[in-house]
Amino acid sequence: MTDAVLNSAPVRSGSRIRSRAVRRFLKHRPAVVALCILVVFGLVAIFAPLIAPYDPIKSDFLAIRQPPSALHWMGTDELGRDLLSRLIYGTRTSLMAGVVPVALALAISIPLGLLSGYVGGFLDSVLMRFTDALLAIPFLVLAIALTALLGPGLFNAMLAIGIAAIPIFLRLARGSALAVSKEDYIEAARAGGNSPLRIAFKHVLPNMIPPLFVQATLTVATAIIVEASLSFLGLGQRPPAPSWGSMLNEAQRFLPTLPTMALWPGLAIFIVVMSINIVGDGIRDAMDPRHKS
Amino acid sequence: MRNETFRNPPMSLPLENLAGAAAEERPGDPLMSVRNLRVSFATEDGFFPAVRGVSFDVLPGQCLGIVGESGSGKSVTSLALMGLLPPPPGTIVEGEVHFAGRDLRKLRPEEMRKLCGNEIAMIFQEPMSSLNPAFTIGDQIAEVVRTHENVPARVARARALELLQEVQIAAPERRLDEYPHRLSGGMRQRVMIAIALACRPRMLIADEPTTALDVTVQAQILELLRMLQGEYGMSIMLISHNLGVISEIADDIAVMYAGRIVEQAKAAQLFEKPEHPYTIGLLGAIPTRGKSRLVSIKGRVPDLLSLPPGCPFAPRCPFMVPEICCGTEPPLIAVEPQHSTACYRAPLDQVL
Repeated sequence: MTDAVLNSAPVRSGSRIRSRAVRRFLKHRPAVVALCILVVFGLVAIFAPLIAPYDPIKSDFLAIRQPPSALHWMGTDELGRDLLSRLIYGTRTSLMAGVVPVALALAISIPLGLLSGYVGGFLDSVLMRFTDALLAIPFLVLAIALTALLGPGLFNAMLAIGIAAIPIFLRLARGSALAVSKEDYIEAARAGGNSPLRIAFKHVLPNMIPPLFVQATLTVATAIIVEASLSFLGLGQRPPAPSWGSMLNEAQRFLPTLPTMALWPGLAIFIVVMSINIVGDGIRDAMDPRHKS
Repeated sequence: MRNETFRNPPMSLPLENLAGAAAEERPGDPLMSVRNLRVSFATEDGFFPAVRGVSFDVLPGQCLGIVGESGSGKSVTSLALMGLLPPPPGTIVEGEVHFAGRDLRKLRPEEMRKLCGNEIAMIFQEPMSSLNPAFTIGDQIAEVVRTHENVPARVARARALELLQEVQIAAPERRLDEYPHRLSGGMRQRVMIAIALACRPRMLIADEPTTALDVTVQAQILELLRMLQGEYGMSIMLISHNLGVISEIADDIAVMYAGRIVEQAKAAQLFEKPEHPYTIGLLGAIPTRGKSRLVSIKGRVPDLLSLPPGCPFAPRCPFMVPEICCGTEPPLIAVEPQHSTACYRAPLDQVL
């Protein structure tokens, strides 16, 4: 019987592409534009050494605090370093500072959230009281405190941001797992004789991801700002290596005389964060038909 | 409630499923036998006795219909049989559940899982939410096949297609790669049935399979169930609050009220000569052409936490006589062969 079916009907391999979600995302014009902007920034970060016209940390004391010119398109800072080159290299830091902590937070929150939400019980109570306590502290303050504890530096800043983001994701992951595990199709999976482990990973996990994904895009934006803030406070990227936040930090003393120095990194942060938020909205709308804008 | 003639003799029993227990299983025995099942839920107000001593048999190849209002314990009974009661509050307090010669309550969880979906399958009330939105229809059917049978993905997929054809879904090849949200309620219930049939179960528990569907689709699904029952030679336990739905395919009917079976009979007997006032009330509530008004049963299901002494239906019963009915709870006794009722006033034709 099986062979006959194999021969008579086209048996295609199951395609996993969520074509509907992708199509809906593509209909969301601003999101597509924002995504293109992010891709450009990503390429800039990757190919920074090829694009940057100057060495970002090389001082030129003959060209200090220059306004934009043909030679230095964005001008130079107080040590005569080319701002465009610093901005380009700073893209690496900022994008990394956005993505790495979120990835870290997700990597820890998803399994713990699944455990907490699906298994529940004592572990759930402990984890949730812990996140409640951490959520009471503002994200930035928590990140600053953690960086202060770990010591300044880009790696520590990213670690701190990642840890500070865990309660947000853990709570969401737990709530999502809890909601999914009450769904009828989980009951149906149990009735179908699946083991608890299999239900958790095969049935609950894929369905708890979408809200986390949306939160992740939004938190990437926040993480970039927090990293900029940490660098601004001297807790992030160590000088002389550039980051958008530290560039802002250096520029603040010259705001009255050379506002462009602060303009560029500020603008870069604004554009990237804005784009990520718009893309995040687009993804949310694409994944959840109830959120029609 | 034994019946010697099988209307639908089992055509293809999955022999590999019988390994180990085949010796204890004799032809003519009920496929599933439930004795004095009691289920309680721990609540803040104390133990809530959702099922209070239920006994029934499901014969091979036959359909047992369980009918009752919401809260009568019919769904809880089915969940208890499958070992699916939510563990902290819900527990089987007492009772025996035998399936094909095996004591289900003594099976280890992994043995129970082997049985579920394989020999006993279940379909649920809400087809809209009983399918996993993250996977295609084909993947979900194939997954069940692969959970219980060691076959390559290609074969499982072919089997999925075959099953979709069997449940008469339009354009089954296309449905394989579609996600559940693209399907209508009726189609999803067909997919649920396909999933349930994936491993050729010997028994199908259908918990309100048509309640969420509109009436024309209801009839189609019932027709499909009846057809597949014959084809697969499986037993069906059909749970519904709708006696009209039950009457479509059930061979035997058990009427549940307040966690107990109050009347149990062959379908024809029950409709011809109901012996419990509650059953009479339910029969009056089936809409038919020409009936100008439906009869409603006054009052509501009693709170199981504080049951009145005597018959739980007494407060709503038109035949109630306080001296007889409000003492102790009436036991389920036979009024004629294969027909028992839990009413002190039965047989009712003497009352009328």
